[in-house]
Amino acid sequence: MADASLAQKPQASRHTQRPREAIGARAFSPRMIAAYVFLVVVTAYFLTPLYWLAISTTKDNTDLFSSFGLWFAHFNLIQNLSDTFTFENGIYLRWILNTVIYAVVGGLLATVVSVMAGYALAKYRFPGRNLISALVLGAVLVPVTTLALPTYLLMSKVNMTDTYWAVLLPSMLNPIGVFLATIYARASVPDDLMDAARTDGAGELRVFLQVAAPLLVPGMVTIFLFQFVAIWNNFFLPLVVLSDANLYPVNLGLATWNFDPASHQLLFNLIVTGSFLAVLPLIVMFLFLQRYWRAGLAFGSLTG
Amino acid sequence: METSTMPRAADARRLNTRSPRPRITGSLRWQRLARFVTPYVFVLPFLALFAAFFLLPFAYTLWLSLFAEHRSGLGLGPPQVVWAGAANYVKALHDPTFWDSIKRVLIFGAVQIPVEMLMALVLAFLMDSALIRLRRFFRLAFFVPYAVPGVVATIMWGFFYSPGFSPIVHSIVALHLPAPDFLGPNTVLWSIANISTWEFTGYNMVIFFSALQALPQEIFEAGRIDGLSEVGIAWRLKLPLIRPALLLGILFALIGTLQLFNEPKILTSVSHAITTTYTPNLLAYNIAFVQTNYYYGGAIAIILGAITFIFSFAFTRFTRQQSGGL
Amino acid sequence: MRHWHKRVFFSLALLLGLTMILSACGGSSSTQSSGPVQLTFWGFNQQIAEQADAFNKTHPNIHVTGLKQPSGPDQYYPKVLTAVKAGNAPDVALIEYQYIPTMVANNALVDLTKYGASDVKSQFDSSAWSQVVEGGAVYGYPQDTGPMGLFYNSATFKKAGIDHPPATWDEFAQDAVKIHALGPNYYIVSFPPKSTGWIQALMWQAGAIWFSVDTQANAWKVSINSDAAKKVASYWQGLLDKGLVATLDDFSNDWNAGLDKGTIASWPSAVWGQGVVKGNAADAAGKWSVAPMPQWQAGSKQVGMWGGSAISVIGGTKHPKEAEEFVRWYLTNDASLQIGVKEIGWFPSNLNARKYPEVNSPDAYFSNQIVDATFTDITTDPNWTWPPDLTAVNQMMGNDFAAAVANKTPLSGALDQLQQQVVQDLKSQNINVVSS
Repeated sequence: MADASLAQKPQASRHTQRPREAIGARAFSPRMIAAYVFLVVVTAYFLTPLYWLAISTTKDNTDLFSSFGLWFAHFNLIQNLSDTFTFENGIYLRWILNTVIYAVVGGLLATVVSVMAGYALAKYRFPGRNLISALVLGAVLVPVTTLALPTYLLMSKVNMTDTYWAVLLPSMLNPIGVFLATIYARASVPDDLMDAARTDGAGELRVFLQVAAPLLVPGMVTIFLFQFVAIWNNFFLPLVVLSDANLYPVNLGLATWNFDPASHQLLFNLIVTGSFLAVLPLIVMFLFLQRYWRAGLAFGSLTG
Repeated sequence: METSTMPRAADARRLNTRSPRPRITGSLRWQRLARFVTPYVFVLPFLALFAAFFLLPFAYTLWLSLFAEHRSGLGLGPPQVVWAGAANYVKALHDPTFWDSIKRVLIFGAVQIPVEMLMALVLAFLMDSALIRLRRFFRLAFFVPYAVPGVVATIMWGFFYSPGFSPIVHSIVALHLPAPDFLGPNTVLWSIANISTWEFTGYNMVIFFSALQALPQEIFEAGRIDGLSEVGIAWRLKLPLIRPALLLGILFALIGTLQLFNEPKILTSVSHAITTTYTPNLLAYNIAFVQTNYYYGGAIAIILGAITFIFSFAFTRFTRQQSGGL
Repeated sequence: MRHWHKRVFFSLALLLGLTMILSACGGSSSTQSSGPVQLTFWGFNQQIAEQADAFNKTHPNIHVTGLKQPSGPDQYYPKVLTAVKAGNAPDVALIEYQYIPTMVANNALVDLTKYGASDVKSQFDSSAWSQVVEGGAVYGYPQDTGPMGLFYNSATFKKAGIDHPPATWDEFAQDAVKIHALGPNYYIVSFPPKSTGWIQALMWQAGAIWFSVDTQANAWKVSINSDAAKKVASYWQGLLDKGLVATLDDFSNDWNAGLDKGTIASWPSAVWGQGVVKGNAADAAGKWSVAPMPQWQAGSKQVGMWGGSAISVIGGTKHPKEAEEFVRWYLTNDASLQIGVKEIGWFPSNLNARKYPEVNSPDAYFSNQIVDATFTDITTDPNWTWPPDLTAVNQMMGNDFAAAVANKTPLSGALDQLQQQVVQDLKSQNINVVSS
């Protein structure tokens, strides 16, 4: 293919690296202006809905439906916040704590489980390996929503519904995480290093913990983050397996606040405020761990 | 994708021909045993979870899909569960609403996936270019929507689509143009596509961008010397190198499209054009969960899984052929 | 090759067993053998926990936990039915009348006749009581009912030059023209095509009985596209074609905004709708009024029912006797009824509670009208019967009506289509159907 040959050509020539800024310093060429205009428009596209959400947390129900959506009306933020945290005996805070438990504990355990499995699949040859790899990929293809129901029926048989485990245990299963961990382990843990450790008398467990694990940290952070988000955003599984509102994650809790004729109350301001507060931790998390997950993604994308 | 299903030949050779180092024999035997047992111990937790929360429910769904509920008289007595064989599958394959829903998501994917990927690629290239300032800010702005739960994203966009108080509709009407209908039968599919694009473009952009950043820069110098523009270098040199990332992104988008659920589900309450049979996953959910017909719903879910498999398989096969067996 | 396949399958089977043990450890809620009988109670409102606590204080032998559930009809009933099938159901649950046959058809309700239902019958309104009786069995006690009336924004009506609420549907159509003349965004009402219970109540009022039992043939007679039904459809078709009514879903954001601003000038709704109007259009106090439902014939008082709920004992409970005791207390004891009427806003089926001042006093929001009085001077067609698969019927109905409105095809066509789909669905379950 033409592309492939082109891609190989530069490798043959050996040029010293030039500072990239030096090339085309025409910062105000029409092409650059077009690029910036494009970026600004796209940024507006991505941020406007969130801007609306932020503005809306300051409005009461009437203003939500009658004032212009992208600007402030009567400032009701304090009231909305206190309503959100006190409604139904302050259950919102409980939902947030539940979600943190589900997402942090579930995410951590899922990461450990995925990395162990991915490491084994990448670094050992053993009977059944191909089958397990195929199963991991097959799992991605089945619609998750349709598995929730039989999962519930099976959980009922062992009295597991309406417990933290009902959400935590299924959250620990992350086939995509195993898939990514396999790629990371293959790319970042050299066989020679493992063999060297073995020669020094290290057991298999020590090889994993002291040689492989440190090399896999960026990959682990990536797997953890994406599973964390998946659990934080999961709606259908908790809906099916939980009926005690004290165990709800925040997503499901907010859905029960959604207006319905039976409760005779319009809680849209609480839903908006609650949604905004529930999104914040995720954004903060991604900001703080940015360095790690970007490194992790780079591995995953190149070696796939 | 290929690598994990088909172990690379190089891997196999390396592992098989590794010669045992000289060592005390007892310890060697122990080490061999450990080497044999370790991978099983390491995959055990995953397999246990996989068995409990995937294989078992999946097998249960498969099992249930072979039965049906039968009633008698006025149907007010408790139902009898009877063996149905392949009847549910035959019914689903002859159900026009099922095929309509499949057709709908395929049309959706044919438009939405290229748009999302193209946009993500262009943004990734821009972010990779040293000429652009404020890249860190832009990158974050593009990625933030991924952190927003699909439920919340759809509530927000539902507001922007609403004929009554959408700022978009207001602005267009203020210009004396006809009010757009984002929720009508001909438009709502694309309104959903917009939500998906909004949610996942940034995610793909970050993946492509990470791949671009990992490329060794010096190899593009030749291109520059040869007089290729930055755009030329991006499309002709860099794009082929991040092809695996792009294909993986497309594959996940394809799977996600066939299983489209959250967005149409939540928009149902504002658009008459979204029925309970709008997407195949919505259809399966409504039959299995809302109508509590696990049997027929299970069959639809299994067929959907099979169709997803066929498409994913065909896609990976096709792209592998395109790249000349690489 | 074959060897390791076998080995993997063996180990998988082993793992399955292990997992079952593992997950069994997770189960913490086992039934206590001593102490009070534990009951769970599902409903739509937060206050049910409060009511359960009041019960627990006076009943040391029974402990009831009230759990509020998400109340969307496509979530709540499936959840109850699934829980029943999983052997995991609550002991007591709120069930709207229209879903009773569907629940019965899934063996999900306990007949209360053998637990003393006849003793409490006299304490309830007789028409409400008739809604919990199905083939001689009593499947719960009636909590509240949903007779329909017309909530209207008198300020908008006045602005359009209308000085009294429409008494007939003809008048309603004439008023629709006047109100739309106020501006392109003004509509007399929204016709919500997915609001199945609302449309069914309009059919009920017009005497278009969709389902009835042919006792001789022991079969359902389905008449969804009868002449009476088509009359109702063509009436709304006329309003839709002229663009005189909105088509927003009820309870949607746009609809709420319309009620609040007065651009949706009326809402034919059940008695419980007063709470909705007050909650949504809080700023419009003094503008809203209530009137009897518009009639097909001047002077008649026919209405359909929209919603209304029973409290039922759920099949599979280990303690039906105690569950019945709670239901009885819940709907006959003042402590519970007070909370129900004052805080939840029931129009109570309990005759004693109907005498509460809250039910009979003027409401300042509705310009000092005695709102509930409008909903007592009515008659309903007792022949209306609910089918045994309402969840499926309602899904098909919502799809057909929404598609007709979205694609601007005739509503009568939606009725024809629904008739055919429902008959086919019943037949596919081996249920007897006679063609009408």
